[in-house]
Amino acid sequence: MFYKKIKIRIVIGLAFLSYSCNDLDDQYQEVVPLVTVPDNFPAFIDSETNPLTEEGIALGKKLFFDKRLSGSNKVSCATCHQQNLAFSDGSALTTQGISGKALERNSPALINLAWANNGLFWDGGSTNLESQAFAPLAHEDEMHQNLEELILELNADANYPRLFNNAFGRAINQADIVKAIAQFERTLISANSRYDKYIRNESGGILNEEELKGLQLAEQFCFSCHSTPLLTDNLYHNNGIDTDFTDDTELMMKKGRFRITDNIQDLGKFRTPTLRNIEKTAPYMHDGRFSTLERVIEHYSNGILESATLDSNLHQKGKLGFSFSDTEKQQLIAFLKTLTDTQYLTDKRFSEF
Amino acid sequence: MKNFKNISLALISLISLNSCSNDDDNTTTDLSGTTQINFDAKVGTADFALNTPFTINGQSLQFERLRYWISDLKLVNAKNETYTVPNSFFLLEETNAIAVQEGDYTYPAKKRESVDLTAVPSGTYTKIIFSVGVDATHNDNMSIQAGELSQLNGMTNVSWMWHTSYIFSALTGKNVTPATPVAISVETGLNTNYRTIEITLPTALVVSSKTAAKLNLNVDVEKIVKDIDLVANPKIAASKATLMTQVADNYKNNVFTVKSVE
Repeated sequence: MFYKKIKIRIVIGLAFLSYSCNDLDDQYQEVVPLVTVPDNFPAFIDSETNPLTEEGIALGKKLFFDKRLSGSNKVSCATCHQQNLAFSDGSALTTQGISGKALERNSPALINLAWANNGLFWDGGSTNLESQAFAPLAHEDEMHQNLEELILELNADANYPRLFNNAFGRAINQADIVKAIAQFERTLISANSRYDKYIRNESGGILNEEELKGLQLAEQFCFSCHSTPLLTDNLYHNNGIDTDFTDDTELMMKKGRFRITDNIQDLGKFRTPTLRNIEKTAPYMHDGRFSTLERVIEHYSNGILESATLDSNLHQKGKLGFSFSDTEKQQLIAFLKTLTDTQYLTDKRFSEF
Repeated sequence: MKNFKNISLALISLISLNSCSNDDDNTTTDLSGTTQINFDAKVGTADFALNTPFTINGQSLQFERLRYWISDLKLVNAKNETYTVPNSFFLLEETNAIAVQEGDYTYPAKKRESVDLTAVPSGTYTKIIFSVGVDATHNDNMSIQAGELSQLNGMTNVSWMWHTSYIFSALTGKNVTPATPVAISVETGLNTNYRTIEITLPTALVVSSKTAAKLNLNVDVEKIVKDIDLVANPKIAASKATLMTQVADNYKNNVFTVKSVE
């Protein structure tokens, strides 16, 4: 295998020491690899304010799947972020929140979030996973959890008080709930698709002729935004799906990235999603308007709409879109399916049970 | 790695030793008395009050909420030495009960106009520096807790504009001039709305163990909306970024003045 082990030392017993002066034993445990990062990925940079610990990750996973995190006790993070769909939910605009009302945006897949360092949500409205978690937790159409009540609920559980104390050395509080969830999310690394094995020259890394042709097309037309190895540039682009970004509502949803930056250059721009596991994350776009990969490819082929902030890559040589032939479309889709990481979709470390 | 381990061990020992031997703490520095900073809300010269009409910019406005974060509070003495108040996030407010999280629970009616400081070193202070709002580091990461920062007091927004961050200041109520009253809400909260205010005191604030020092500031609510047309813009929030900037500038330049130093 071509893995670099990320060695993160776990310091335990610090909290213990602070109220016990007799025990000065070195409390270091042996090195445990908390995440494994493949050679073709950038280095894993841990959060300075919320570094990974084994206890934090395990607690975060438990919280991620716990329906008690919602006001109705019927919705968990995993309701809209299902592992078999690369932690997306298969709907355009989900109605699985506790109000049953369709959300404003498509539930994004959760993949390689440790590297999502340029804003979360489709418009980048949250700066880090910790703050981000408060939004679905509190939003009236999502989990609508009373954050004060949540502490009482978790304190009433047989295990949570101990698990929080083990992970953070203190009683349950709002900040540590989102910290634990963020730690679990940072371990969600997908890097074992057939394409990755091909890139790393590993066994099983064989692409057939059609897929290789598709890869060449992707290199030419897709990777400028869906850049390797994460297959996203973590930037915001207007990909020509709309022309009118006027929106006088308070939420300004149609304005895309503009609603966060107030910069006219950001009108209609949305975050580049990764192409990893794209076969599993339908429907596509920030509002799930395209139900299939075929429709997405058709859009980039002949459906690009002109507007002031349209990405220049989509408007080349006086022509909108890439005008793919039918064969090329098939080749691209064949390649995109090599990005499915079956191990990720079934990995027990990320499963509820 | 071995070195790191040893250093850590030494640090842990130090902390532990320190925590076990504080029974013979013979401090030589002069213990200070209490220092109180008052933020006295006004409308012009009148005392600010909730649910009472005030004439502002020719409109009759009635308020139900005035709230703002005072942060990074500093006192500068005559020798130009700066004392920074640790954990400096204070929520100043005068508010009716607030339905938090769309009414999930209620934040009680509250009036809080002063900040009590207990550990200001003795000295003669000539300047106060503070910010209105929450600095970008804390604003962008709500899991870094400090001072009075909390997700439970209705001064965060997660649905306000889906930019998960704090609300820096909020002034809400209604304009009762029109036949049908119009709700008004003036908020700031973008990182670019963070403002630092520096005020030179007309007479020095003397902090010593013998006296209780008090600095009284006026907070002129009328000035929060100075030069802002609340008839045309009754709701100032994320979709009105330019006006939010103007409100933030008002906090910086016009709202706070010294009333007295005791």
